Amino acid sequence: MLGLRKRHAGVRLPSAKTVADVALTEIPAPQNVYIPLQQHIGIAAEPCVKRGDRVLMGDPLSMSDHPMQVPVHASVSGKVRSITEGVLPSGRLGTIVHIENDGLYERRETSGRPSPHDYTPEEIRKAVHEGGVVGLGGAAFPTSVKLNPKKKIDTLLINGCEGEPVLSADHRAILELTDLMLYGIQAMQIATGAERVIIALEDHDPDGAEHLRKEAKGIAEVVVVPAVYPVSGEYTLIKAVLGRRIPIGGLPADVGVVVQNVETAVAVGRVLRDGWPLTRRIITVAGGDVERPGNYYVALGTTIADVLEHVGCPTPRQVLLGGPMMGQAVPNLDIPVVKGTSGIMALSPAEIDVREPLPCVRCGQCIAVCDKGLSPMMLLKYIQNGEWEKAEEWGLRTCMECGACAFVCPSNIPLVQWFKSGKATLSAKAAPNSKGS
Amino acid sequence: MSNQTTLLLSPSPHMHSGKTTQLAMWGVCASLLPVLGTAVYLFGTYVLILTLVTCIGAVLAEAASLALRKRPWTGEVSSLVTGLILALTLPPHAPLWVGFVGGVIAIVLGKQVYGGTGANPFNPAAVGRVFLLVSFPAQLTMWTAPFDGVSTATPLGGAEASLWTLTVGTHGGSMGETSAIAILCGAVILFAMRLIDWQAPVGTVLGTALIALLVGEDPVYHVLTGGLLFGAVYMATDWVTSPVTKRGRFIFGLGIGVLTMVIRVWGSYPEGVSFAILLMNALTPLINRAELSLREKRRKAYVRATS
Ligand code: SF4
Ligand code: SF4
Repeated sequence: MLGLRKRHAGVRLPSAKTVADVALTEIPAPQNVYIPLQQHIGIAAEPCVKRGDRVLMGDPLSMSDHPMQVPVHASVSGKVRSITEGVLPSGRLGTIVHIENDGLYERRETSGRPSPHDYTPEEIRKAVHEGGVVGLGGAAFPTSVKLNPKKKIDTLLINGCEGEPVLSADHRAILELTDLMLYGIQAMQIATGAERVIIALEDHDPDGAEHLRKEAKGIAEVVVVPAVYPVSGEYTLIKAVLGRRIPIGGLPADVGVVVQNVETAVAVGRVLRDGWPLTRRIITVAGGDVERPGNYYVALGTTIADVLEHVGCPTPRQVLLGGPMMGQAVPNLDIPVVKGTSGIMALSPAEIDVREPLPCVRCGQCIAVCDKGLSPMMLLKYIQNGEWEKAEEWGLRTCMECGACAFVCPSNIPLVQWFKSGKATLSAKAAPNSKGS
Repeated sequence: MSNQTTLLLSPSPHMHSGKTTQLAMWGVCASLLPVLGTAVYLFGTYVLILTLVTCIGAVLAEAASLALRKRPWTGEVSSLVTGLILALTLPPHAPLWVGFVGGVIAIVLGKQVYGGTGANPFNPAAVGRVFLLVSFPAQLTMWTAPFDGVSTATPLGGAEASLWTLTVGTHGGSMGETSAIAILCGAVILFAMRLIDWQAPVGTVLGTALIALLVGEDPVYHVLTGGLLFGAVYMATDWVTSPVTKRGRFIFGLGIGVLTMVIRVWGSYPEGVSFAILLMNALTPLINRAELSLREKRRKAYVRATS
């Protein structure tokens, strides 16, 4: 009854889950952590600490009642050294709280409740918000907002598909943090009022599926979807699993679905069962330059430099935040790990792509793989020729920058880069104060 | 905080399928080996020399044009592919200078005048072949029989040929075009390497057979003779000059088949594959526009239906 309704476009990537079997370990919190107040889609909450304060692990650093202003918490105990402007992983500027770790790891007193059924939906949302939980699949959208849908929800879809090759944090969470995850899933079901829960996994991950079929019995159905990139996106996943089409610009809730990622479920479970806020997350650290690649718990605010030092990477050449398909190369290693960081890759020379692009040879492969139905080859032409109306009309703005087209392009044309800059130009032109044509 | 090493910045994705244009070209070269091998077996080692000279003409022309246009030599093998394909459409004992001139013309008039790889509307090998056919008709119709090299006619030119002869290629004809089996081997290699879709070659064969049936001729005979199969597999599948969608490629193939038959039946040339390919090359932008507009319409309809 439940199955794959429609084959979608996309590309089958090499799985490359090289560290999928490496069990979770912890990277000890470093001497200094740098915690941005803005780690989610929304607005930063107001800081509630000041320079010189001593904070305990788990203490809130910012607070707000507004659901789009998600608080952040101290990931170590120690002194607040400064609260200053700094560069966020997104490249934008934002307030960053610098805490010097006193090495005591003194934890704030917390308490939870043994069963998700001990909570009302309202209490769940409040705790999730105060616990600083956001979508950990990458988007970092405030979870409490998603748990407060304005429409009737029939299905809670737990996304265990890690479309990005290499990343395997969800896979480890499924195997090692099953109880917390299932606690979180049940709580989210209560909060959304969904009748059924489906956990979707990729066919790259048969162990996870088998494990969950046993462990999640009576709580959730398990559905395996073919790992055709980019299936892991919410829109594509809902289309693949439920055959429902979300309005462009709409939300999953418009078709009665709430999508949450596996690790988010774990975070929700931790907040409710133990009362412990989001102070660390699982990150896959990999790439040819990493001596001890694996899946690590990393305290939020740990810099990339500190992470790489722990895993052994003496001379990083190119470092990505995220996976190989959509991860962005960082200009320096002082950038802190935040809630939305899913992976860190330090690429070896063999993995770094340095080939020069060749001219488009009109092979049409980019067209065949674009799941948004775009014609990347034409968009490229319009952007290069400066035909902006055409680019807009042919849907440039709807490109999700998934990189499937550039992955297959035999001429190695950096299509995503063209589309990013093209979109920026379109936005600049559309800006009300623009004098452009 | 960190030691200030310079980190390399480059755009996502940081992963590639590894199937590059260059590699694809080498793949095409590899797929031509069974065809070339069969030609050598049937017509002798002169075939190898003629092929070599044609390829040298093509590669030299590419290098010279790029130097004149002050473009870097990208180590592209596409000129080699053009040379190989063109050579295999020549009569087995055509003079060497014909091969050389053909190779040069194919690259210069077929590709470089339009701006090089990716910018050419016409299949360079077909351009070279048609140029030779029009300029040097005598040399281009010097047919010799396999093995003994005595002059002969081609099946299309009226020679008797059994189905078996046509399939294995033991009859007069262009050096790479006579053996259906060798060409099919090449097609299988190309297909296995995912370098071509089936749409264009199958379309070509179907189009040919269809018209043959309509005019009351033997479709099998028409498919197996002349350069039809060779053109269908190696020229109609050229990325640059064929449509970008699968359905577009099928229509393109059908067109080649139909036009080939029109030329064969009503034209003054006994053979018409390269002409047909050039004509359909000219229609490719139209097919692309129609196909992609349709795709856009669908995409917009989807956007509208769901918002
Ligand atoms: S990056 Fe954009 S154009 Fe390319 S496949 Fe993804 S959505 Fe389509
Ligand atoms: S995949 Fe690259 S070479 Fe092929 S049509 Fe698209 S842009 Fe051109």
